[in-house]
Amino acid sequence: MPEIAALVALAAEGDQDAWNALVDRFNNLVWAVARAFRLSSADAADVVQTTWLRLVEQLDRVREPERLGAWLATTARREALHLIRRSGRQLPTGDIEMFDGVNATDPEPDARLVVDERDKMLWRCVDGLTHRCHVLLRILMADPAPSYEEVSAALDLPVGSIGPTRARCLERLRTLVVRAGISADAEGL
Amino acid sequence: MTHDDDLPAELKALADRLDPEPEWLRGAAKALYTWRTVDAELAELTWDSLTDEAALTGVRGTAAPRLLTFQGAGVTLDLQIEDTRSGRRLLGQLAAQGPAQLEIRHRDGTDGVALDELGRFVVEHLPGGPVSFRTRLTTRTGDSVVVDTAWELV
Repeated sequence: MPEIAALVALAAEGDQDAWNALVDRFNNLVWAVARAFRLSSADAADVVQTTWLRLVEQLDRVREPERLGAWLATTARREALHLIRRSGRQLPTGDIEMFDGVNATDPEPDARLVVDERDKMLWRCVDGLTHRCHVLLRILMADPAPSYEEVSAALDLPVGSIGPTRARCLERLRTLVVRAGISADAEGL
Repeated sequence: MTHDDDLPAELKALADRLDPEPEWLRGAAKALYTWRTVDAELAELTWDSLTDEAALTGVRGTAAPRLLTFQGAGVTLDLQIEDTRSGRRLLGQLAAQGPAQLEIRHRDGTDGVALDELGRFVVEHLPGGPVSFRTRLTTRTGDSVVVDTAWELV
């Protein structure tokens, strides 16, 4: 994505509009990474802002500006893990096969939003996946859709394993959805 | 390279409806650009008890204060963060090659920090969110140097 590298160069020269364009392009990805690690909304916002401040101070030093999305995803993952460790919460292990229902520490969908039951059930099913699957699917929900390189950076997994992991996680999700009985058309997922 | 077909449409739309970014966040991220300073040197985080000690001992503890060290451009800043009943308190010491002034930068602005004769300082009621310290240093040759620590969520 050469246009990203060009925006980084412009932002390094002092162009606020270029900076704004970078934020518009990647803020949702950074938010998705923070939330994928099940941070509260306030903690996730801290991680997002810290990640952008890191870029502010590193604008002249970004080695591969065309890969900025991956750099931001990596930074956000590290900040999220630091914050989890600081708060003394258990780091997700990634080898738990299935959480039993919704974990009490999971951020619940914002209660003020009017969402239909199917949305909420589907969200709980995503929450009920293994840590790795939850992180992967939440990051893939970022808008615009992240590249595999960005997903790989957010998960600290090789790019080549993203596709197979994604397929496996979607399969598990379909199983949960069917078990929850919320959809006759889980096939459509 | 994007993979638009990677997630079923229903799933993609789910985060938009159930977990959108807070409305203020994007504007705040754009405003962070005003923290950019082209003439400042960077002091990097070189020690963090949170990650470095945990890696050494395998122990995950939060009772002990967090210790951080930033180094760069002739400045060393040691920080200790403690939880107190009235909030979080930061104790620190600045070692610089020359007379120096210190400021703490946080999301609500910048505050001067008083140093004692040994370069020690206290910040009571540490603000939330990321912080960075700015050292204004006068070198032996009389030059003014600005050294900022990397932003850190402490």
